[in-house]
Amino acid sequence: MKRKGLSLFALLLVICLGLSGCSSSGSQSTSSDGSGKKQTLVVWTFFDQVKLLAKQFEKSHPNVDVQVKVFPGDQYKTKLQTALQTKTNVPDVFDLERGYISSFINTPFVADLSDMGGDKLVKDMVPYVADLGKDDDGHVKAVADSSSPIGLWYHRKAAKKWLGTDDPDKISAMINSWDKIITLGKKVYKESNGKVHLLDSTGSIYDMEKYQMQPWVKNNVFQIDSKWNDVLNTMRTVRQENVDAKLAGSSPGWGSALNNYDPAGKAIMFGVPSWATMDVDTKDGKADGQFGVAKAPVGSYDGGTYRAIYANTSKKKLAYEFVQFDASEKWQNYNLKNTGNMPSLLSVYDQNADSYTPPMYGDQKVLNMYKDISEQIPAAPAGKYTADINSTFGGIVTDMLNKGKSNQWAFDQLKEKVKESYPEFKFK
Amino acid sequence: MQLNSQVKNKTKEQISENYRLKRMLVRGLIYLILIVGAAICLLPFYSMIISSTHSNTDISNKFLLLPGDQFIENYKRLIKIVPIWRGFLNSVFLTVVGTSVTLYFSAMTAYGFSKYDFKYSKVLFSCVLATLMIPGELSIIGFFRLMGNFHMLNTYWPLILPGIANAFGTFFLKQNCDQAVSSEIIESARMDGCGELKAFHRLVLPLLKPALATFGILAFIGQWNSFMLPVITLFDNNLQPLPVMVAMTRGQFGTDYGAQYVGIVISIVPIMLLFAFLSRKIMDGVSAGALKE
Amino acid sequence: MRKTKRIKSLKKSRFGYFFIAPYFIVFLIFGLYPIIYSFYTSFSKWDGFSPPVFIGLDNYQRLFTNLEFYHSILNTLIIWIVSIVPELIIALLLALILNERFVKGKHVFRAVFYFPNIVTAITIGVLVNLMFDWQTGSINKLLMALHITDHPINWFGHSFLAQIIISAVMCWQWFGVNMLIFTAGLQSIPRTLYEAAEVDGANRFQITMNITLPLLKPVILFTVITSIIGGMQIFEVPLVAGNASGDSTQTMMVYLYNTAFTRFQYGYASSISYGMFIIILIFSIISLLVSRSRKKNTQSV
Repeated sequence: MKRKGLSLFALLLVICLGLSGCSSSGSQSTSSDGSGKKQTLVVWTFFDQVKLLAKQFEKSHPNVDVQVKVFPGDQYKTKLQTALQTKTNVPDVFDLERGYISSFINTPFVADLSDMGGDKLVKDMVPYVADLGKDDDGHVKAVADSSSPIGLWYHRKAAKKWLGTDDPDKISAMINSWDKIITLGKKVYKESNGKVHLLDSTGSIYDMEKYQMQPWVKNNVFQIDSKWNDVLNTMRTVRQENVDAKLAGSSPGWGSALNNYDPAGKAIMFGVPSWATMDVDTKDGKADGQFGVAKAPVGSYDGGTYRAIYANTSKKKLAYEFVQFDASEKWQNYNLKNTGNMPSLLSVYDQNADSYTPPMYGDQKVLNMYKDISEQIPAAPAGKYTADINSTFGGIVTDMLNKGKSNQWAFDQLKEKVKESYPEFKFK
Repeated sequence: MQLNSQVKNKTKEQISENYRLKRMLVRGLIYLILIVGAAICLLPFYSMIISSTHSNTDISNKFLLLPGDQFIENYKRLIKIVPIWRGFLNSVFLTVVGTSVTLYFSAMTAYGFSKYDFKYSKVLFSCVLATLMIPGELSIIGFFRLMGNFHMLNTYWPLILPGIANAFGTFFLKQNCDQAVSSEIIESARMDGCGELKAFHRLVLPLLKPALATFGILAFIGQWNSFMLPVITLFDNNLQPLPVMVAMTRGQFGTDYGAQYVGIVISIVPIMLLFAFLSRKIMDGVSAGALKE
Repeated sequence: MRKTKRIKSLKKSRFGYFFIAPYFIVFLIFGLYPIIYSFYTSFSKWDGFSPPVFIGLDNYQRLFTNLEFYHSILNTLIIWIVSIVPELIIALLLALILNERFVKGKHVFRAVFYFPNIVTAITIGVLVNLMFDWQTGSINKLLMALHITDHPINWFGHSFLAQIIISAVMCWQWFGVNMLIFTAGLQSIPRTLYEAAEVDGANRFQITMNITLPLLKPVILFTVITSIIGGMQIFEVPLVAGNASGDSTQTMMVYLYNTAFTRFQYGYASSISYGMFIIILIFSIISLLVSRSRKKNTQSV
């Protein structure tokens, strides 16, 4: 019995492998675009809330079944790339994160939305959001339904105690330059006997300043913006004067400091994007009225989720409708109210400016603040190397601060690393 | 005469007393080492279980030694994002099938190399050994393409079939087969008219049991923890095994460590319980096999 | 009589091929093809999107002049050596202790020591990341509560400290496996040998040094060789535990992963994997040669 079973199994195995090997080039799956039947649209994302978008879309398109496949985590990118590249199981619509969007949208795998009227979709969007979705030739390739401006969140109780006020505009005026932040931070540190720090981390300064710089690579030449010198000096002073609480962004310690409203807690201010609300524990109204949002010395953003269409999909029209819905006022209004994601359309900012007051910000009308910040963010293409080099340099700068090295040391380190990672660049 | 023996007895007693004391000391020390070692092995898991019952704020603010009351809350948040029990079932299925396939075919190959003196057997065995040294991670791109061509993506085939060619298992079992299976037994089975495959099933597999148990654990763990392959070859979230689900809890935006800890606990505790039962059997098997020799 | 015997032995050999056939069929398809594919890729420049461009030996030239690559080799070696030496010593010691007749609860201890290995490396990486956090990790909390240090230690801010942590974790995770293998080896040593030695008046220590360890040598060698291969591929824990100062926890595998999956340089990454293969090969050959010369020495003595 066993013997027969085994040889049968081996035989089956060989046949299976042989057959499937041969048939691979032959038949492609026959997708039905048949009339009357429900059409399906496959969407890949790393972001759970896309399911909401799908539901809303299905409401206005009852003939469509949107299948959202969520892959949270770092492997999403690899999975998507291998799928595109082998042309198997490719979704009709897929999400791209700001960090690697450039590698994807400059390939023929991504449909050109400009050809389908995509320029209209992004015309009234926050400029930086619109530009990140454009390829090197300025064509619209991907569209985002939200913006993610960085504000300086502060704990209201702590601000009242140490800064004398919890009014967003007054505080914004108190911290409109890094020098002012340093002076203020020194004072807080001294008055609290070294217990309280004004800022969460030097990393916040880095994250805000990195998008103010000239791109690292221009015409294949690697360059370091001279403005970095001042930024590094600022970071060094902040560290030396104990203005920051040394809480690495999104670390567990950082998360707990953010949720600790004791005025004697570790940090008063946190440089966070607007979507950081998901790091705040809002259960039982714990966070109600605890936060205010102030404007940092520079306008910046963090992250961004972009929706793109697979160039060879058989459902291009439907996919475009989906993206169009994504960029519509209707959806973005809904999204703002239900998830708190800042819109990408300026009009949606304006429509809700007075009515949008989530409890955690107290009586502050945050949309005005965020719109203000968003518009200040320099618009630029995403850049193929930006994310990788930014994160490399971020690590080096952390090292520089911890080890007490000079700016030149950091620049030399970076150059060396970039040279090894990207030998194709020219160096001055 | 009497006196003499009394003295003798006394010194003997003294010596044994001394010896006993020393022995107790040494044994006490050995137990201490064992217990400290066990504590080091288990403490992180204890801390993990404790952490899973606390709120995010407590996890990172305090050094926690006692359980809290937030487990259900953390669990609810986890379940909202990740179908972790589904992942658990998937892992059980994949691991059981994958391990069985690996064990059976590794034993088969090992037996072939160990007891048959065919042409090129040495060369072929060196080939098997050589594959042990190849770092597997980058072949993944080629592997993915191939699976695409075979239409095996989003199925469990790519996770199970490669287990047939397990170089380590073959190597490990061949060594055991050389020792534990005597050629005479097989020879005599042949005399009795037993077929080759039947001999393998009836004689060799039972003789290899202890070795199969040892390697079985390794294969089981390897399959249970396999991460990269399922991540790349499976698209459906409902098909994903547990490690992928755990990695999902570390989603892109999260600092929700309470939920993460619950995910980790769910992935570990059932295995902990299962292991508590199975380990005894497995280790009994190992020692029983050793005694037989 | 003779004729039938020859036929039989012929038949036997033929069956050998049957037994190893499934292995090689599967290996050719699922193992060799992807390997060859990545070898082919290593001669090209390829970002995973546009068609690969053949560039000859450029990737290998870049590899062998790349300091980051050599750095990653060094990191791997340091982490491996710092973990493997205590790992094997502890494993051997515990296997010997647990082989003593008087120890009670052997099963429980063995199971407990083996247990860390059952946990996914990804999970352990997350745990390490949490425990060794600079400002809020539980290790620093404990040290400060015990007044061992006044200021939290920035574990991953020091290159060597970070390497030691990774090594310690590897050691913790793997000593149980080696202990099990040693135990299996110990139990295959016949009791009669010990009894004979006891009759001759040898004490426990002498027996261990003169009988147990020499007989255990092949098993020890086996674990060393497999741990070289495993150690060269240390990956998940350093990857998830986070980047340390000066990239000191960037092992070869992590370097390969970063090159392929964050920089999309698949061609170069393929050449890294072949570079790794050569290095692992060299170490394996060295260890084999050492073991062989040892064998010869003991034979001649």
